[in-house]
Amino acid sequence: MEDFEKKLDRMTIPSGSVKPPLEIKLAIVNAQRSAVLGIWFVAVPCYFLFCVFMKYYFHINLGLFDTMVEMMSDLDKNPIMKWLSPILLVGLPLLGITINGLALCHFSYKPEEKIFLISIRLRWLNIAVLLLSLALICIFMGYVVVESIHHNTGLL
Amino acid sequence: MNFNWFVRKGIVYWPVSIFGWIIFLVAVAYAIYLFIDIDGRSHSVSDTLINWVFNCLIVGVGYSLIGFLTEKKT
Repeated sequence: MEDFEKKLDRMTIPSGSVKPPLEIKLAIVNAQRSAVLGIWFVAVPCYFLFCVFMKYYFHINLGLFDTMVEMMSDLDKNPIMKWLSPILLVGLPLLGITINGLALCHFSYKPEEKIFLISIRLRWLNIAVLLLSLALICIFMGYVVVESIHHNTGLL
Repeated sequence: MNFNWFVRKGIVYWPVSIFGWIIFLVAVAYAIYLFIDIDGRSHSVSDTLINWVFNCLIVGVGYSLIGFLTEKKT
């Protein structure tokens, strides 16, 4: 019995220093709250695009687009307010993409194996808002590029 | 910092504190002022409504952003 106790004393105790994976997450980014804010952020650009589609694709001219363009040009004339339209049409969807992207992604780092893991949660509302925001930005940036080419070369 | 000024129901933020109510009432008063202002300058009913809806959306975005940052967290 004494030998056994001595053997036990001599045994090395395992350190038990297995570190849990380091998780990186922003406290402000909650999936449901981000989706709600994303919906508000895409509301203005969606309304603008709705006006454009009504006039140019469905040929229903209720004065929607003309009024909107008039208002945007009024904003452009004011040196302070001229930044409002790009912020509303591109800045807000970009912010929507950022917060919904962060809400969907989950980052963790395993120090022992030196592995950085990025997992994506399947929250369909967040994904839908993110894709809609991405589509809006692509449409507006595409318009800017085509308009710029047209303005510079007169080819199109 | 936890403000607890609003609670979220669906996509709308409802005020639950005095500061929340002040912000809510200011937003509503500004929307009414916008309607009167736009109506005074516009030429038709559709012109008024189109401009007013667009401005209301902008006010809604600002209000929701404040609600998002100051909502009661469970």
